[in-house]
Amino acid sequence: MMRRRAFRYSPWIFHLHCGGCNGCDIELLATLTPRYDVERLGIKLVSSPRHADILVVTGPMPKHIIPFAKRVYEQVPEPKVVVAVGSCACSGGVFAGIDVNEENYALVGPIDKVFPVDVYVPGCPPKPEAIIQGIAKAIQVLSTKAVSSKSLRR
Amino acid sequence: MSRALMKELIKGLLKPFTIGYPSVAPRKYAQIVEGLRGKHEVQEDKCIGCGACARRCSTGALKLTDHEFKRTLSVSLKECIFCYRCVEVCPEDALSLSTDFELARTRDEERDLEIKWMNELSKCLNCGKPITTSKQIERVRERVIENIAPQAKGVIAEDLKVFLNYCPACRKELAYKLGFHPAKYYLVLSTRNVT
Ligand code: SF4
Ligand code: SF4
Ligand code: SF4
Repeated sequence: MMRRRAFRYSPWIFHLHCGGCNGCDIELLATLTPRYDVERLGIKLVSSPRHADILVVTGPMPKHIIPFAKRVYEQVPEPKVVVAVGSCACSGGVFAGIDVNEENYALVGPIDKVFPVDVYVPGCPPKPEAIIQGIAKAIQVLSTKAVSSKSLRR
Repeated sequence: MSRALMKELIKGLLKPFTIGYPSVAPRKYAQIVEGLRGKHEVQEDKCIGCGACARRCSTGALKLTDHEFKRTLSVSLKECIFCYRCVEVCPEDALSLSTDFELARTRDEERDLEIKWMNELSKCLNCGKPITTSKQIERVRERVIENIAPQAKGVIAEDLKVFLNYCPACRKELAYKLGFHPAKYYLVLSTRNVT
């Protein structure tokens, strides 16, 4: 119970930029400004993936970033939740071209081809409110994962 | 200090500046600006299934698939960039973008991010292959009759009833047999002009 509460009230997020046009990253930073002020909800942006509970990924994942992205993903301690912000992260968006399954020389497209995604936030870029909604959903997922996660049991 | 800055400062002191977005129901508030583009709204009865939106779509989010006399149009919101091009091009104003921006979904709810609607395809009387949707054929008929010279209207309106029931390949083949070769209309138009 305590564990569940702990994960519900203080999710720390790490922002991972994988390609993309920076639109989503700017919106994500906007959610941290006093206008939207997610810190009142206990959400904090941390500078190391090792401290994070939620990994927020933006961009269409260029091929050369895959090893680094995977490393960051593995560094986030369990239980972790991945939020894909923006059309790029959800499906490849404008960068992937008309056919998503088509091979692209530079991009993988959706993030979920590289590691599992728990919450999708569509939009190009999504509104700060939409990102907050996505993180709110991620917190729900996190608290259910915190209870069921084996790595936390001793 | 400039006047505008003073105004902002005073406003900030009098009212909370922060948007209390994820607060509970009666106080739920988000800044919704004019022209915000969110989830698609489709008026299925208005849509004629012409596929203009699918052709215009920037990312291939709006797809058209024909399967056994059913035309399915689908929007995948995960791919959509809310660029408004599909709305702009729709000849029947069947599409619009609402201000619903709360589209975040978990992996289990992903199905919500797919909007689908259907149209019936009509059958060619000669070869039995699908032509295009019945609604589009009806709309083409109306538009052609609207825009044609008055002296040929009667003849063409009659012919169109037959003509549009065949697929493009069969139209070519059967043009003489069914009596809707273009030469006929030149004749109609030219003779009436002379008299
Ligand atoms: S989803 Fe749109 S705004 Fe976000 S990174 Fe991709 S192109 Fe840029
Ligand atoms: S808004 Fe743009 S990207 Fe979305 S379905 Fe319409 S044309 Fe495609
Ligand atoms: S009528 Fe509008 S919504 Fe329907 S297929 Fe044509 S462009 Fe798309």
